[in-house]
Amino acid sequence: MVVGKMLFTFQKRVKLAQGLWLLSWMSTLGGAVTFTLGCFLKTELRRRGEVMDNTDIHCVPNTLMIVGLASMGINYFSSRICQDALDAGRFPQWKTYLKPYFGCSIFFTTLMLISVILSYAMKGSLESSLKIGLKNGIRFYKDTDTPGRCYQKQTIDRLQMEFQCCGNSDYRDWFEVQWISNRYLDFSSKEVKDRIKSNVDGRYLVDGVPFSCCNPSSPRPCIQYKITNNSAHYNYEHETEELNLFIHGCREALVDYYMGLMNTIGAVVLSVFLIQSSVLASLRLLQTSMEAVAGQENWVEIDVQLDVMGGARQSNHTLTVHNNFSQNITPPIRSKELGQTRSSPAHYDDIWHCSEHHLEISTLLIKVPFTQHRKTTNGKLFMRFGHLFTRQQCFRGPENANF
Amino acid sequence: MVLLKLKFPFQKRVRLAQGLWLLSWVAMFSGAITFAMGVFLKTELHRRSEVMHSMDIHIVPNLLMAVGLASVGINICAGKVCQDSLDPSRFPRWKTFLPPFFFLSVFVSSLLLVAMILSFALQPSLEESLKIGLKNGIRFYKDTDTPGRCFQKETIDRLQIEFQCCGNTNYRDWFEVQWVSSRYLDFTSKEVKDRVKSNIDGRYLMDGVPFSCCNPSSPRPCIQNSLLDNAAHYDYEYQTEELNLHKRGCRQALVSYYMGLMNTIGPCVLLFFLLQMSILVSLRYLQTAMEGVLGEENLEIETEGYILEKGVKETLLETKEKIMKLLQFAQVGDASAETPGTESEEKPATA
Repeated sequence: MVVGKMLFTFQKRVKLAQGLWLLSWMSTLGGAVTFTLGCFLKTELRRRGEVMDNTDIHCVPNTLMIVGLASMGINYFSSRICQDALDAGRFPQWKTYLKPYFGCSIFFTTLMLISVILSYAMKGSLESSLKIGLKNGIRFYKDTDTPGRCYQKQTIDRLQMEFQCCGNSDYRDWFEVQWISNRYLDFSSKEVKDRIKSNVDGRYLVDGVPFSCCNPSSPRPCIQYKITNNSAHYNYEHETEELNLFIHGCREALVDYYMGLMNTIGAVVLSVFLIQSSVLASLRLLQTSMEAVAGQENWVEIDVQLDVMGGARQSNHTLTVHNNFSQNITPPIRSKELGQTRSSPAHYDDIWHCSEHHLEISTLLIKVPFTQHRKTTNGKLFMRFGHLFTRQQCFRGPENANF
Repeated sequence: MVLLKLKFPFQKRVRLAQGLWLLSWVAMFSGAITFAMGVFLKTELHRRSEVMHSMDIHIVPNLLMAVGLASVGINICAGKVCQDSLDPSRFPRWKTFLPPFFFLSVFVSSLLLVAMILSFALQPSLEESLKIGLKNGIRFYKDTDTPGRCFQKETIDRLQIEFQCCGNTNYRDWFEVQWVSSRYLDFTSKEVKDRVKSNIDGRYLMDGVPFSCCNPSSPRPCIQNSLLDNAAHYDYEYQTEELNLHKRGCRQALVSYYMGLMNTIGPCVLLFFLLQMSILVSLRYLQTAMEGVLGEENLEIETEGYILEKGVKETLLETKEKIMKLLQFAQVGDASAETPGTESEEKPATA
């Protein structure tokens, strides 16, 4: 049972080849776009790499980049193939490559689809990676004198200001860690000693947050210390009032940001995938329809008008027009009386010889049966179609053809 | 005396026309780019317009936009003239159009130079405008409940965070204004009463700055209150220590930013001006060379091209005379309408 069988006339094949050539160039562009989107996503993920615990999520942009490059190559080859497709002389050279080529292309095209699915599937992994990364960032916020961690403070501050977020899940995460370094604490003061004694680990915990949590849109000057102490500030109730800190946690803000990016990229990649699949399907159709033609040596299609001028002699030769793909001798659709040849039919090739006579494009689709009994001939006739492919070969008729 | 005469054989004329046609397309794109740069500069100035007091500096992007558009039109015309120039039947229709066209183009191109000079000349005006604008912004920082000023706080905060600056000249500008609104001050507390009494205007002044002055790169958690009080913080000496606030003033930061923008735009504009002038000079040569061909039988003769037929002074005198004649003709036209009788009497006498 043949899948997706379609009938292809000569003109339809030509149109298919031309359309496919254009489409494959469009698809090459789509592949380049996919590659750039992969690069962009990778740089964005790397920028915040310090607050991510693992790099599992990087498989999405890596896949996109690989697929983008591969699809550029695939589409370049597909445009070469359809350029050669309508030329029966050059098409066979691709025969051996086509099966592995199709296998490769289908693999990479499905990889494109997989990358889109991955970008949604890896959301959970991204979230847990950010959770651990941010937790560490907040823990090491104070260690600006420890090599390897001295930029954590700056990273977290800039992150909170840029994404307008505070803490991991919310601002209370800052209450659970000591984010003020011991270098700046006066251990002789009573307040510090009380706080340190109040918990098991001897950490200096405050109900305050760093300045980067402050929301510039708030009408009140920022309250960042003694947040839970209502009496410390005038006209302040932390339970009811809208705090002038950022409400969202940084984990939520970052996940939203990256999911937004991947949603946009996913939509674009999906459309590139559709274009790519249509390119491959059309290429397959073109290949199979050309293979059907290739076996027909005796029936060569030409688009030619025989304008017999100068040197033609009298003979009752006729040109007959048959259907395409016709294996049997069908009754001719149309026949045209030619002038007579110089002498006996043995020399009728004079009429056809390309150097002696002019041949012009015509609307008659002429299929020239070389003999009624399908004797093979030497060579092919003039073939010319469209303006993309031009191939001319001279025809030499058989010696005593019964034309 | 002809100005800068050159000989033009036929082939040279053809090459000149072709080269000029191509160059006019390039100049058209440059005009579009100039327009785009003007639009960009205008939007950047507009974004920070809340801290600018006057709009004088906007003349630079306005000029750039106008010149960009005008030069696109000029270069399209120049391209058309080139196309017609090698065809003696179509060229004459441009004859009357070309002299005013040249004047207009030279004027528009010189506007480019003017724009560039202005961008440097208006720097003090920009600085002054920013000084006043920032001063007002800092003064009205606390008025988040006054309509018309309620976004000053957000504007100043975001400005200080983005440009990494603090205050007008430096952070001490915040010590001289009350930036904490009275709504949030407890007037029953002793501290507030002391501070309010300590100055004539009854303002609550403090040696503190808003949070947006804090520098994220500093290793220490931000000290923004009691900046001048060494005892208030552990291991802190404001005279010697590098404060963890932004050092620059916002005025300086903004002026540097805008000057940087205009310094980038300046050379591009200069290049474009040179391109445009070379097109105009070549077009003038082409025009004068073609005028030599008109009316001749053989189109392939060699002709001369020049910039001005007579010397500069003579040309100026001639144009002045022409303009005077035009004015006189207008006056005489009025006068003759009033006294037709005397003229007709004179005519038989002279005949």
